[in-house]
Amino acid sequence: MTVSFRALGTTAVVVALDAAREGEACAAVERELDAIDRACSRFRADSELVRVNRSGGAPVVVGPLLLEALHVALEGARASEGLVDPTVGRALRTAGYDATFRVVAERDGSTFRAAFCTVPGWRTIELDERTSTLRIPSGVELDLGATAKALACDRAAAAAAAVAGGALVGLGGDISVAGEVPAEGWPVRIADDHAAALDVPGPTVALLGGGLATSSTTVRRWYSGDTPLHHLVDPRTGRPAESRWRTVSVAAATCVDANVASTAAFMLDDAPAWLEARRLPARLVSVDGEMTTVAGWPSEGR
Amino acid sequence: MSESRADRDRALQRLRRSTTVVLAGAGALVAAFAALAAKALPGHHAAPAARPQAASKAPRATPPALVPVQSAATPAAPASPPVQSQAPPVVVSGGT
Repeated sequence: MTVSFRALGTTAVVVALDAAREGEACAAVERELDAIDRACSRFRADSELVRVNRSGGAPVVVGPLLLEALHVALEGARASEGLVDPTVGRALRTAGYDATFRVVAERDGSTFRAAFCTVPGWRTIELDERTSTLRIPSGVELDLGATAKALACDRAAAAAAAVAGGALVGLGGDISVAGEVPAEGWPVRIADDHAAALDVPGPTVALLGGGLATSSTTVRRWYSGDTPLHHLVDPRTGRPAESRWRTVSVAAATCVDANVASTAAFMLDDAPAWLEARRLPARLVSVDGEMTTVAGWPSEGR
Repeated sequence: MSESRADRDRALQRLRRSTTVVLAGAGALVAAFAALAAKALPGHHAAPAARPQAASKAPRATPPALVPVQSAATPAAPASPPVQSQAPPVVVSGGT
């Protein structure tokens, strides 16, 4: 039995191995997602991240969850050599992603004009973990969207599995599984849009552990005049990435790792080689529809 | 007397020439060694350091300690790769 509800501006899905504990598992997931939202949302006036982004260059003491999210974001930035960078906040905002996506999507693109700016880079972030103190230069704005959502997924799956023996949690297309796994694994349909129906055309893979993330520019899009824009900003240019890929799905040890890899791969023309070198099973679909699989991703033959 | 003055003038002239040659040689050697050292020891590129901020009343954080990388292998591969499945899916992974 699958339970879904709105959370973090997207759809959360919970599947508990022990159906009798489903209610408890969902409650545990909701608590985790709410905590992440309060710590890491760019759009909640009362979130810790908003306080950080308004700190004007002054040091800010952060709570343990935001500290963990920052740790994860910086580790992702380092591992991806800056392709996944939490300092894209200002570039995203000036490009038009300045409110919850529901608001952005309803905006009249014909009257909106995006502006673009350089990304200052994750190395401008000063984080002292001993004192939980963060300082970002004045003008720098953080966006933890990619890694914090994946972190929420990993934490929520662990929390759900703790009460239901095993669980799968999906959050806007990011998937994390924890605890015991069904004998045949957790079946997941791969598609361009996470909100597609379960019977949408596409392959189904069984997850035996860890996480799965899909990055795509086909969904979260808006317009500046006639120009379509999307939320995957390339830190090297400060603009929505001009990728040769339409959709990239990656399986990894955790949902955070999968998300970092799928986002980084999206920026790279030679993504198959980059993923293969890291032994990350992945499925890539180019903008012209050509499909590539690497590192043991199952073939789609019947 | 005038002959010894001429000798002295010639000697001074030779000394000036020698001094000029020695100084020019020393300069060329300094330049050559500087170029050699710069090539051998390139130093560090300046990181995009934070711009100096306007004075703040709040105390500055202790020296920055960027988080350590837990593992050089991140992002880490799954223990088992996904496998093809014929079972009805329970969730969709796609763009958000």
